Amino acid sequence: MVKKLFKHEIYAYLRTILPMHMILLGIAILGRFIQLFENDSVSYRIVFWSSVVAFIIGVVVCIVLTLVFGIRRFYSNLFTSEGYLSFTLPVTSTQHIWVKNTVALLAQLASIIMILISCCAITFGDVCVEVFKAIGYLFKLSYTEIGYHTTLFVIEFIITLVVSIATTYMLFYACIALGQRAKKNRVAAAVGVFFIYYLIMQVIATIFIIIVAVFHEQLYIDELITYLENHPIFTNHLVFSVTTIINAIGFVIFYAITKSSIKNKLNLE
Amino acid sequence: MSELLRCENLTKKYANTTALNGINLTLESGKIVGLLGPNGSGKTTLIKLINGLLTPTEGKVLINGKAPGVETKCEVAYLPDNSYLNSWMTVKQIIEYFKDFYADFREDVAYTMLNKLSITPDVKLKTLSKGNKEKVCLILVMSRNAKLYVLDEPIAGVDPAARDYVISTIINNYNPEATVLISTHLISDIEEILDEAIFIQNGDILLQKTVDEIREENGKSVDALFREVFRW
Repeated sequence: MVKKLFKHEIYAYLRTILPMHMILLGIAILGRFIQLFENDSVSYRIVFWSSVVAFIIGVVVCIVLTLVFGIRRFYSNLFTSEGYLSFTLPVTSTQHIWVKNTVALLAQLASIIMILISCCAITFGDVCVEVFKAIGYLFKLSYTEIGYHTTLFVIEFIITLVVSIATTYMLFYACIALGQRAKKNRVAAAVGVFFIYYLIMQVIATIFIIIVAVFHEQLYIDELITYLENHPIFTNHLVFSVTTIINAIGFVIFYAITKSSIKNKLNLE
Repeated sequence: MSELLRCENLTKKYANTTALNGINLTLESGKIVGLLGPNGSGKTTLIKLINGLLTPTEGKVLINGKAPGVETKCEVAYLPDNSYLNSWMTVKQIIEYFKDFYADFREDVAYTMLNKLSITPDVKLKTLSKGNKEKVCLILVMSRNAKLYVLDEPIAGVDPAARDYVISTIINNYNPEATVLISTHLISDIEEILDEAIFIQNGDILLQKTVDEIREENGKSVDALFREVFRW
């Protein structure tokens, strides 16, 4: 059943995300085509910069729309009239949540890859070659300086990216699921839950900063900063690891809230 | 006949209202049962609880001895009282969807019924008229070889000719060993196909009898008794 859920979920994404990706790629190719007519005229500069602005807007829209579509898909497929079908399928709420989260994550990764491909397309030729050469040089330099840590950093970066995207979606799922517990205005309640969460996180961060500032001597903060500055490789590994662990903890909490709300408090109107 | 559905002290409360008030109910297999009551009597709430779309405040509902879950969803075919299909899908795609998820879905039966209605499988659901959309929903549900069919207001909001179509579709396509639970307040249209009737009002079961018992004991039709019981 999970395979079938994946199949239909991916199809639902493809019909929205794929055209968007194609439009972005089209803008990039058009932008590169415009560059073939490079000259010093004002009209060329206007057209050129318009294509650059259009591409930047396209990149932003691609990321934002993929996120919005992932959130909207979770809400509409489970908590609007479509939920009558989704929740009468012989699948568990756990399967629904995992499939939705995984496909949303894959869609966001696909959007990132498509943006990179589009960047290659709009700079196709000498610029693109130079960028790749520069990246290659940086990697070579990095391997010379820090060896296998370069590979580790790349792996850690990808893991951090994947976990943080999955957690972002799960946060929105939890807000939507909690919002469904409201007796009316459930979408507004979900937005309210999100802002309350955001407020709580801001308060926690502020308290943390105050504690560090006030007790920096007792907590050996200066010594810690000095140690981290003297051990940059360790510091980078630490930043990636802590970010991933915090996100993973958040993911587990948001998942538990979402699952509990759907399993125990489902009330489709 | 074996017991198919059991509700024990089933209660559902919303903010300030009690939609179901500790009802006890048993349905046996192989019957067509009318769940009859005026608007707001608790029919849809009971149906949603059977399908696991609502969580009971108290009590429990059991289908074949099991609480609503993956196993019962394989056995229960549900027709909601509103449009619930993805409107961007074509009829063919939604049939594929049902075929993928329900092992008891009979694709050939679905296409035969669609063919009779001259509905092209490649047409998108959003382009269908309201009546045809409702018929497609009914066809999908009745194409399943389920143990319990739960139909919420299948004839509300459709013209008399369409009502005949809906009723004939139900009669001709349900599994005879299964039970069909039909919620409606349009009793005269479905009375002739009912084996049993349940009257529900303000979240309480007022009556559960066979149609023959109602006629013998009260000397009147189910529709006439309904009008008497629920008179304003």
